[in-house]
Amino acid sequence: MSGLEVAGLRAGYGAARVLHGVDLVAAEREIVVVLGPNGAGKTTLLRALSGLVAARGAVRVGGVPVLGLAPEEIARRGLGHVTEERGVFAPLTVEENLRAGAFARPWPRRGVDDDLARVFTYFPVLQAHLRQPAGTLSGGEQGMLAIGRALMGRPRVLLLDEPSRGLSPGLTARLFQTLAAIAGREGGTIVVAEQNARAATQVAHRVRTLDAGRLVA
Amino acid sequence: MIGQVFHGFGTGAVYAALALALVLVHRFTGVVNFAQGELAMVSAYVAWQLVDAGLSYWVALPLTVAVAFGAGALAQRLVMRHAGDAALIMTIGLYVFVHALAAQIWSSALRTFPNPFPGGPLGIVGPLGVVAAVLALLYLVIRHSGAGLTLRAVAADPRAARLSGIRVGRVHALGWGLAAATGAVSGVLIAPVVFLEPGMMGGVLVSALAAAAVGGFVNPVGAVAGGLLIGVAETLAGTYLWADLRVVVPLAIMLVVPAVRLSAFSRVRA
Repeated sequence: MSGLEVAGLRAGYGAARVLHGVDLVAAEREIVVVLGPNGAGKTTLLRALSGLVAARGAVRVGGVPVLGLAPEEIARRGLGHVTEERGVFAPLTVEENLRAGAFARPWPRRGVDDDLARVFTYFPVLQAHLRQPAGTLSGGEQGMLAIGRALMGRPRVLLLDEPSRGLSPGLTARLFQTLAAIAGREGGTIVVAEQNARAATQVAHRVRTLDAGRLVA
Repeated sequence: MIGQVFHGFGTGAVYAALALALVLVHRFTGVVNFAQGELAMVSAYVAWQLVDAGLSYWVALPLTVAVAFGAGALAQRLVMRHAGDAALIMTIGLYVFVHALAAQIWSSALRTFPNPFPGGPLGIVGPLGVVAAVLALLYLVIRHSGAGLTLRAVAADPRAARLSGIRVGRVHALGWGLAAATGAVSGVLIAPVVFLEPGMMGGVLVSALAAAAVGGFVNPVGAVAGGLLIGVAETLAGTYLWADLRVVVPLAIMLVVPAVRLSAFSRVRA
């Protein structure tokens, strides 16, 4: 069974068409890396999948069609999206940020505390700053918090927009190893949009290349 | 003099409650709600009808607060969520509409409202106690409940909140409901002091706007402090200077407070 199925996805901003029919299938426990230069449409692709940008075509998450739904409804159907800005709730504490992520999971929202503990096994640094406002974290820590918050929603599909941005090569390598562990243990699908080909492709099950709004490889 | 100060606190408590309502809507939905006073006025009428029907004041008050919560949430769902960039203008439209509706239903006749805190020290401590309880309750809901967490998440970053599965529309309705419920307390507190009539909240709204400005429209404690400050300043100005001066006090406070903040800021910078 596939986690994410995308067919004929077309999207853009007003008259400017950015995606010209993208087809993409990603299975469970699979990490798919979408490579491409700046302006290729990687961010637009992820935004179209999570409902932030209007799009046409077909998108299924765990078999359920989601295209056309509002972002919060798509999130509730199992799609997590860590944007390139991270978007942590700066005045809220690290713990509150993580707990807010749990609103994406279906009722009844059981096991939130267990999931918090699991997130800390992936990102121990978050536990050390539990009561601290998220805005006081470093850029790299905010990135981890954003991923942790998305995991709290128990997503079937997790989209990550340039998670290596602003990280040293060493930290980037560690982050991708963590992502590989997450894909293996949580059983979801991870789609990573990256410019940093080397670090990303080492853990990828499949690598696709986006160029000028089309997947070319 | 002491007596006047305490009297000012009583009035200030009413301003504080409405200022709190203004802060809630502004902080959680980003708009100054000019209709907040009119929603409070309608709430006072609802309370009056309940008391008139034979209910005790202390039963009517929580019922009124609940009704106000529903009305505020409904106003957000039916009107404000479609307002988009015109939200501020829409609250003025809501003001006019609610005012006219109240005049239509209850006429413009002056009515007396039962006072649960008749005279004496209780007349001062009572309203203050009610406002303190409201503030404590709001703190608990906003800081320590799941609903409060969604409110603060949406205020911090609406897009990230959406991506976390938080239904932003409902959260805005919750913010409006909480604000209307808080404002209802101010309406019910002031109704025994002034007469019950559709225009009763006009002056209170101006003072509450100034009080909310003391807290920068985001800080609830600042809004309560501002409300009490304005209540006392109005009473003292009206008693010891001349009566008409009261109406200038909120304006003066609105002018002075940003100036004080600015000078404090430049001291820190220097």
